[in-house]
Amino acid sequence: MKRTHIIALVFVAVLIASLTVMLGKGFSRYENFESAYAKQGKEFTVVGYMNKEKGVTYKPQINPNQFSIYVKDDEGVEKLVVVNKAVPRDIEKSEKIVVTGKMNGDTFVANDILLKCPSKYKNREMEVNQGKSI
Amino acid sequence: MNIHAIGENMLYGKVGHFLIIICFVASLTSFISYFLATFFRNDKATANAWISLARKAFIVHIVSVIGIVVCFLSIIHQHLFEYKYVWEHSSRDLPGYYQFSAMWSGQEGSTLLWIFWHSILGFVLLFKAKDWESPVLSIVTLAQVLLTSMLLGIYVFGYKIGSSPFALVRDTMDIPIFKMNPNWVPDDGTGLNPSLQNYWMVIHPPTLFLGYAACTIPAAYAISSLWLKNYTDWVKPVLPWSLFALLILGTGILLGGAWAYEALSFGGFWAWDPVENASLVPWLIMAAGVHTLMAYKHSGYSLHATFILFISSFLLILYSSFLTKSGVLGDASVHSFTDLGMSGQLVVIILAFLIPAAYLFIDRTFIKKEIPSKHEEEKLSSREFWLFIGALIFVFSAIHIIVLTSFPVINKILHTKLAPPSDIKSHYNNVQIWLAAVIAFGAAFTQFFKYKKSDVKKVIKSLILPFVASIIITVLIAVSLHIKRLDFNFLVACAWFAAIANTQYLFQYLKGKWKISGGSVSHIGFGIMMVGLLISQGKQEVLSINKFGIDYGTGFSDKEIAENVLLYQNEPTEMGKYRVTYIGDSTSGKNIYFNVRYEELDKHKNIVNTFILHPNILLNNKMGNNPVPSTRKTITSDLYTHITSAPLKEDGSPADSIVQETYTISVGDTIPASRCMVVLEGINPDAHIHGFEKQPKDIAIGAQFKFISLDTSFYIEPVYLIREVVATSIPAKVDKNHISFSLIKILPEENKFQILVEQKLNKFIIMKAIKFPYINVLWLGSFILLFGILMSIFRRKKENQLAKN
Repeated sequence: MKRTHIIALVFVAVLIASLTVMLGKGFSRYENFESAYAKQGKEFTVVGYMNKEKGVTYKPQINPNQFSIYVKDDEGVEKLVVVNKAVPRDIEKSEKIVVTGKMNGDTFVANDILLKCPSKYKNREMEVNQGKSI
Repeated sequence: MNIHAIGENMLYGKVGHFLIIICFVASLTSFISYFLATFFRNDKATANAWISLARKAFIVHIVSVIGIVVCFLSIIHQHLFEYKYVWEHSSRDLPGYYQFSAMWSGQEGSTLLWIFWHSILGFVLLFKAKDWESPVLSIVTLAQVLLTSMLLGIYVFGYKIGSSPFALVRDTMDIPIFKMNPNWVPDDGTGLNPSLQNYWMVIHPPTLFLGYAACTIPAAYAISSLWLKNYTDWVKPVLPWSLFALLILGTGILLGGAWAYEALSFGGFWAWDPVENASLVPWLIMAAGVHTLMAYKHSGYSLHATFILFISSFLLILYSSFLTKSGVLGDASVHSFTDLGMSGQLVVIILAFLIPAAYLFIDRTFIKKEIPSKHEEEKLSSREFWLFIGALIFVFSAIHIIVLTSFPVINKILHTKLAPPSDIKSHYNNVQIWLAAVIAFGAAFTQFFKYKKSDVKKVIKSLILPFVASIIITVLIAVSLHIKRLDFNFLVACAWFAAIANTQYLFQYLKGKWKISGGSVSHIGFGIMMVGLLISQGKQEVLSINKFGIDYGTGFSDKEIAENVLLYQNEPTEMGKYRVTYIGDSTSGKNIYFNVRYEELDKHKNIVNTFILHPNILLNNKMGNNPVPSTRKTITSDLYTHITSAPLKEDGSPADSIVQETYTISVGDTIPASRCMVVLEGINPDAHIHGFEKQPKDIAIGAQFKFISLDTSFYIEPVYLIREVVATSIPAKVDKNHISFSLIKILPEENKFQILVEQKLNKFIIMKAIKFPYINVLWLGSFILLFGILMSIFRRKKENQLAKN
């Protein structure tokens, strides 16, 4: 074995070891609210959608860096989600929401939120009125 | 298919679609001919016949690609919204230069751009590739066949092959209006995503896609070398091509960083977004490949590594287009494309290159065992050894990034539920900063080693001066900018070491011979760039920290999450050394400009400097309003201001607001309000009412509130007065805060009280201000890095020309 081969093998070993460690514990996982509820205080990523009837509670005059919404996860469980960020634009239009954070009692406290907005052409009712016909 | 609706302009679409088919057939013909020419290469006459056919087909291909581009630009420019792509990505009010951005803002358009660049590079190869023409162009034309197939938009045995840029709205969408009125044509498009309406978006995508296309060429040479079993002659022509790919892809990535820095509201040069990562990883691998190629050229070592790296770089480009175009990143990235149902086709494209390349490599390495490799060890004192180690670190860095980016793919395949760490940026930084430091360290000393063997003592002697100098500079920087993190300082030290050592090498050994100093120059640039990157991003200072005491809940430090601050019109707020005031707004077309005045204060609070920034919101009722930041640029720092949100009236102009809220509380509870709060400290059963004569039977219950604002605190007492059977609330007002509190109901059973809070608020904005120190060092370093690569390209081209003559 040449020296370079040994070094390359050491690199591969370090890489595999560190990835195993990372996958083992360092990462959050996609969960639903129920399983997050069972493991209070542990970090999770939950995918769901916003209950638009209940709307967004945002009182920027009091705290511009916090808002709350109700999110229903894929299993249909709905929880109050408090997000420690300013309200992202277009949250009302979002069709899917990904929140990362922890369960604190019955509330999910998120420090990150990602919106998936519908592809533009699904919003077509709006456009239909503007069409011309000859 | 032959319905012609009245008022539709079908010509461009028909011609465009026809050209796509021509383009596909021509590339297929060219590929087969080049393949056969390579196959029959020992029979000159046959090979030449095939080459001649292949060239003609390729010319037809190029001409039709240009024709497609012209048709495509025409439908965008003429606002023909009957075409789905135009309707989705453009609108009537889109300025001319952004019509180019619209062209490549969607999947079909960006694929077309990629095909266009491939055909241009292929055209250059027709003249330049000489003996390598048929194998290399076989690979390039195969890429063209597969990429063009993504534009076909036809169904074969029920599978959709590709998606045409000329598809019509009425053919692709099932909108009820077509049943009532088949002649319906949309009057306007949905418009280009406002964040793409930026001048960087006019040049970033074409550069990036030229970089993508350029990465095909080194891989094509590598595969050709394995195919022809000619392991020496490919080195010279591939060297400038690989440097070209490195240069252009690097420029494209940096332009993307500049765009993200200037236009996106993340306020960052590099956010480790999956889409960004997907373009960085092939660049890292290409950089590793260029280094091992140098080792092979001069010493005969690292040929296997070079093959793997060049081919992988290309495969990673294909993989990155799979990531961004298949929709697989849906939950992980803010700017991936939606799924057009072509994931399967994208996988086929990757396999079409992976399988033959892997077969050739394994066959030549393990079965035929004919790839030349040296049996004696590289010496520790040789340059080739350290080049190889450097390449390994590049690879290590690339693997870390691509594995993390591929989580959604891993989840799909293994049915796992892994999510990336929530603080993904710091995770990447924690690992990549060390790797960048080690690479910079290597870049500092490797050039001082000679190929084969060198005098180590002499090398160390030369390096003492830059080493000591970089330590001193690092200490000075750490002290003056308060950099405490070990990894930050380590990277700064290594980066300075790289910059200084290479400068010394340039003058001491190369004696300032610019023609051969491209490598040193790019290493200097890399060092400076890393210093600028680390300081500007690592020491960025969020000025707009919200200082109002609110409980943010557990697990979050205030600093992390309180980055937005609320400013009322004409009420100054101090942020760092600035006094910041929102002084008003103005409207121009679809833009609302918010005028934010910054007054720089000295220690005695005297104003030393005043400037006004104009962050704006671009109104867009179809896609949502988009904030456009405004930046104060100085030589030493950038002050970046962006509107997170502002309450707007129906017409889009900023609105006043009145907050009215009822709280039910007990003694000891707190009610938060804007810039103040009250604590219910007790209940006074016999309250005194100022300026009011109480009658004996009156019952006056007072809520004793402690009013707390930033600069003061005092007691207030709203009263609930009962006279006979009539109850009245007498509010307590605090004029300065435009707020009043009323006790409107008493709930004796629960021992609770209902309090109505009314607050009139001025117009306000919620904004974020970040200071990036020494960002210009980053731009300077990037420029030097790219310039160094450009110098190397000219040097290698010149060498190749001299060798021929």
